[in-house]
Amino acid sequence: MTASTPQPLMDLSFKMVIDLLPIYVTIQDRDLRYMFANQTFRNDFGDVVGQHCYVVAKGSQERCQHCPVQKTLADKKVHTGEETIRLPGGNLQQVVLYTTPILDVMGNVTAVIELATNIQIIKEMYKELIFLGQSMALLSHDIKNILEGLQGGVYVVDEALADKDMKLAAKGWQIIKKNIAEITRVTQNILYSSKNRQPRLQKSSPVKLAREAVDLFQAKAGSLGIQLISSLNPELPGVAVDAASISRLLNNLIWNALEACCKDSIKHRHAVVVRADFYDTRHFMFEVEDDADGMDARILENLFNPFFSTKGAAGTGLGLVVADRIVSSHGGKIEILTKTGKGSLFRTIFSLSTNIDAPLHELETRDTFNPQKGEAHE
Amino acid sequence: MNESDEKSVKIALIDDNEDYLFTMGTFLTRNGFIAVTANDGVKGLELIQRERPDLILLDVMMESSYAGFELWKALQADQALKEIPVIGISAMQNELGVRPERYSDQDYFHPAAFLDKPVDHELLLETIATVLKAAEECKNRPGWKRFMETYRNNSLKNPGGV
Repeated sequence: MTASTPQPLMDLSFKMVIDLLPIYVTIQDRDLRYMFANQTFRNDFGDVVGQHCYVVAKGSQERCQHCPVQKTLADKKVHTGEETIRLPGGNLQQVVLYTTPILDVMGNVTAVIELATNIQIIKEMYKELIFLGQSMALLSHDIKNILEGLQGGVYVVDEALADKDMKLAAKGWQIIKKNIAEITRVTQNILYSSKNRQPRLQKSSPVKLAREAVDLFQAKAGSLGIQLISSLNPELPGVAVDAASISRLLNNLIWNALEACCKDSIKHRHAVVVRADFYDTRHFMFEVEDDADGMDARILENLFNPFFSTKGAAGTGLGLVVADRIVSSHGGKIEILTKTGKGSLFRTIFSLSTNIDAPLHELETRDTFNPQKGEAHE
Repeated sequence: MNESDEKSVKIALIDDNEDYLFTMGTFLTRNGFIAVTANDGVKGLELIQRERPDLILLDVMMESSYAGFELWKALQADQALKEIPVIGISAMQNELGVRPERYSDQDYFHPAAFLDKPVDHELLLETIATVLKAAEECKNRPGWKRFMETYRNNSLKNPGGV
């Protein structure tokens, strides 16, 4: 080999190559402690040698179930899997893992090499596709029901006009108006969900937004025989939110609560309570609570797909998907408390920040949220 | 079927949408039928037991405690009520891909006909007439069930029929 020959690639240190790889490369011992982590991993997690993987990557004190590293330790084979990991800032990322064993001279596994590739973008796209599919099926169902309402209402009005029966005409006209309001709401939700708009922050009063939403639904609630009660804390200060989005969120939650009451065939008298109050010293919340028949595990499980699994979610109303999107775009958090036969409470929590230029961060507590566990009811 | 026959035909409408019960009830009444209504499955079963209708228009996707499919099962379990022909109504037929002809299981929902919302009024009247005619012709005959099967299979092949 002469001096003019280009330096062979193999002369680069292996460690340098591994450090530069845009994936996480780690080696774990039999006790699941890190023995090595490449630079990409250290950039995100710091110096982790000697620490347990589940503490570093999951923020957990217990070993994970179905972990490919443990499988490789057990059977000396290559394993793959998908995991949700937690970055030190609290952000959750989906990764795909490959594990391969390091064997000693006796053929026993002394350690496991783990490669983790971030597939968050793919997961986001996957969620979008599920969302689109669900939206189309639900939309079609909603629109067909609305068309049935419009067609039926028109029939009744036509018949009433022929008979000069103004009372019947008024009833038919009422049905038409109700269905026009319904298709307007559906259309607005389609428009909202069709693009990922960034929130336009402006200083707004949560109390005023909640009061406007309650006022908007007072007539509908009255016509359905449902009491719509507001409990708004006047001490709540103005905050930096996208007022139009928050209004849509509240409208969707109140609408769902009223619908839930209508569908409850057990109780005949219902009340929906809308609250705006402090959540803690740094956050405020909106709550929409109904006393309908609550949600069973199947419905609850499918309300929001919080990304932890690849299970397809079905049965999500567009209104709630839009609500989830609005809360996420504000870096907020949504909690659901429900009890079958008692009712449901949707709580949305937002920062009390007044800085309209500040980037929105997810609430620190977001990763502890798991709607499937929301069984208690206040 | 002439006007005087239609007068006596009683149709039970089971749907959780009150507006639909009103508008469809008005339509049926003004077309010479007697319409009786219930807004959920439990009340629907009581209504059918009490009124013994000649035909049932059943929404299969009711969201209250007793869904349309459950009501169907309850009807099938009752020797007298299972003979009443049912026309299934849903706004989700295409989305669900309901294909009743694929199943022989008696528990599985297989109405005499299936109509999608918004219901075409002309088609509904035609379907009611055909189903009632089939039911009438085959009443008290051993081949009734088979006739209904045949009717259903034929109507499924007819795109306008389902």
